[in-house]
Amino acid sequence: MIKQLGILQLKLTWRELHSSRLTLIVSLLMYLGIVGGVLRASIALADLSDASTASLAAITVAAFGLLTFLWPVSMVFVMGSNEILDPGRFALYPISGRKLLPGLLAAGFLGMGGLCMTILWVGYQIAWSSGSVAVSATALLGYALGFTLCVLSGRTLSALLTKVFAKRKARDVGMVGLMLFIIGLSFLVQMLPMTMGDGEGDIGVSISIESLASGLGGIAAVMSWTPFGWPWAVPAAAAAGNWGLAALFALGTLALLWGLAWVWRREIERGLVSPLEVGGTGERIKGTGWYDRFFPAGPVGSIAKRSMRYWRRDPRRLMGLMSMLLVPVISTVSVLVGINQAGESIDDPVVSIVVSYLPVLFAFMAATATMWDISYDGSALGTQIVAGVDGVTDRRGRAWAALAIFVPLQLVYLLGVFIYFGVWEQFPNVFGLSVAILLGGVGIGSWAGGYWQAAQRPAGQLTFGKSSMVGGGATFLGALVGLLAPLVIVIPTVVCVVFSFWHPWLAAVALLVGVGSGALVLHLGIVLGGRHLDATWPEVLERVTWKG
Amino acid sequence: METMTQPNPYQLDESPNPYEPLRAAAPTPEYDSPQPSESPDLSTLPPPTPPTPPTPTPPAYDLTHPAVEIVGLHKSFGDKHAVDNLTMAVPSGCMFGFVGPNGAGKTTTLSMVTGLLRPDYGTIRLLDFDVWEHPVAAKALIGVLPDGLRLFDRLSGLEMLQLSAELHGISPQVAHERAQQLLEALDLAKDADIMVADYSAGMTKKIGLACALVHNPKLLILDEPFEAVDPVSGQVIREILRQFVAAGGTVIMSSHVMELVETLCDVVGVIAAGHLLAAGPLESVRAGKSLQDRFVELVGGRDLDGEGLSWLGQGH
Repeated sequence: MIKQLGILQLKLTWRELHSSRLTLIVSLLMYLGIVGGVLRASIALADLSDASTASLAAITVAAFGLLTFLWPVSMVFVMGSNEILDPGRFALYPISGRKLLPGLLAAGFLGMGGLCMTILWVGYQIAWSSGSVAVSATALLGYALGFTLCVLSGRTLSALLTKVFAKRKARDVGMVGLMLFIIGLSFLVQMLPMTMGDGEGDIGVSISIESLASGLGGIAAVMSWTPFGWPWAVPAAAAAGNWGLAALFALGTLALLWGLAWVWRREIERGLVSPLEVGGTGERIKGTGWYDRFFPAGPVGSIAKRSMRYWRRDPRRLMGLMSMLLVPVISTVSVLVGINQAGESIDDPVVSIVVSYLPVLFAFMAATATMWDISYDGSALGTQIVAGVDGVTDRRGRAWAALAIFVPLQLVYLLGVFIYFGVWEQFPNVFGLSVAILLGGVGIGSWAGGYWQAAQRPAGQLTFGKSSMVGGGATFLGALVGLLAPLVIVIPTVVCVVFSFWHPWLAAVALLVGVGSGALVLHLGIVLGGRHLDATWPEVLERVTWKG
Repeated sequence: METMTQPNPYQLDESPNPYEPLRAAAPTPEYDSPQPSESPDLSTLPPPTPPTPPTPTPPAYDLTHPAVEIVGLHKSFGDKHAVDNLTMAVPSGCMFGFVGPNGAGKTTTLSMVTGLLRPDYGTIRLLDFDVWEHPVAAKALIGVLPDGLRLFDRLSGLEMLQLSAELHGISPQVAHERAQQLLEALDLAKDADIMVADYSAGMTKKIGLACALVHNPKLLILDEPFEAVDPVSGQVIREILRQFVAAGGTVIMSSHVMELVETLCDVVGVIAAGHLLAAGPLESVRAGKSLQDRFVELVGGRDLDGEGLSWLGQGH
């Protein structure tokens, strides 16, 4: 069974990679990058053989403990796509959980994670081989235990999550929650250098091994007493001559592995007898959308209403909207913190003026957010095509929905910033720019969305860790247009804004030009995008249909 | 496909006249009566048999104004000719069963007929309009249940139906009323507020069918409408379709369940490997056999070589 499952895992992984030449090339490049990074880390580890035992212990326990913590967490990100050997797939065969478990575990060692851990093991083993053979042997034991802990905890967690994510609602919430977690994490990473000092210089290079070890010493001490650090603390305790403690850590890890295996086996056995998704009753939708009354009867209104619902109910759209909201906020906060760090006052008029222009960032994301609207429909677009809806109607309905969401948010953002900073003399400029980019952006999105589409992974699948959009080079070109075109259409308004610093009356002109150019681009985008759609509906349906 | 190389009297693709298939296949009203003999030799005659009752004459369909008229339709995917020079007509006011084995080209043909897939060449007229020249006008006449396409499944069943009706220009009030009635008829009323994403396969099929009906089209094009549907709902759907046809509508449904087509449809078209093998009133297509037998005969049945699988059913 171990052999069959191992071969199956490798075969299926290879087939998945091989599904298209582009996927293969991108994956190979990505894997080469990862392996290169891991090789460097392994060499750095091997270099630690010259360092003191205490330093080596501190660095390895902290680093590998963190890795052991992150391994199962990373499973969450690839959930729904990485379960090549989902126990449920064996439900029709007369195989018990006990028989399946070793094979599934062995399959877990194969793949990218296994390769990286093996490369790291070489450096780890060299680092711990400067002392006695006994310590070196404990390092081997500790690594084997640690590696098994990573794989087993990952498998157990993903088996438990399979049960949770069997419900669509849980998948939706999980997906949005994960996205917020990633945004929060990236925000923290962004803020970290600012709070650590001047934020300049490469920490990795400038800090010596000893100072790094002393910095990590506290983390390592704590980590070695958590289950994530136990296996890595085995050689560290042995090297310090504390063999009893080393044995305790090893036994603790073994007990933990046994417990995890027990839970996992129970989950495998559950998966073998109930492989299907739980049906459940489904969530009831109460009442009609309060926004329904704002849209007129007829195809345009019905498309707008449907689109509004999707911005809220489709986790992919909701994630897009949230990142659209959060990115400008995070940028504003980052800029403010940066200014604060640089010793400048927020009350400085120049600073206030700079900050007052930040709401424009929100408008800038409108084109990108709108242009993939039709791609998110997937094959459901067929419903609209067989109803004979023409392209302009489609574009107009979607644009209305986008504007019904973006315009109030843009106003709130604008007013918030201006009420806080009070630089009202800049308001016409910023308002004009925002309107030009927002209306123009939705126009560009309406036009570009008619020309470029990509198949999106359907909602309801956790998509992290795997490509969720398939469209090839055309998608890239479309994305580039969506990003750059708003910069072009805003040029007339920008010219007025720039000159308004010398001729204040031009601020009013900027406002008019912004609104006028935005409205014009919006109209043109809807008409031109719609006409192109009319000529290409079947091809568009083909492109947006997910074939994964 | 092997069978395609054999000459087949039902091979109608080359027919230049779209109405020809139905006319060719229609039985001539001819009664089987004893022919007078000049010199009857009573000793050699078989014992007298009672005269065969006349076969019921199929209803006369209006072929001067067909609901669907397909001429020279062709679609290839790479080297594979999914639909190959298909010419056929579906008379108005009938229940047309479109049957064929897996991969025969049924869904490809119906996708082209409904404007979801562009043909390589050929023309398709739905009642008064060419689908590819006047798509909006043609699509206004039809209700479609496509196979394999998703619905807007983040809408509730009721919302999905209302959207479908409103996209056809029905007022929100009428759309709401009709949606409620359809949900009731298809036993979905209690699940009307649940997202389509949470529906079972059968429920999704039923809501798809309701979407095809809600704007009261003249022509229904249904791809495998009974797949995954429970028997009770199946019966309701049959009633709805019969009522639709009785009121003058036309239904085209694809299926590979011959018994279903036999009991429901009055006109049948058999397609295999992208070619139309036979088309016409059910009685004439099945030529005195069951539709299942006739179908297997037309598409070329394969006898299972019993020797090769003799181990089956004998334990390990």
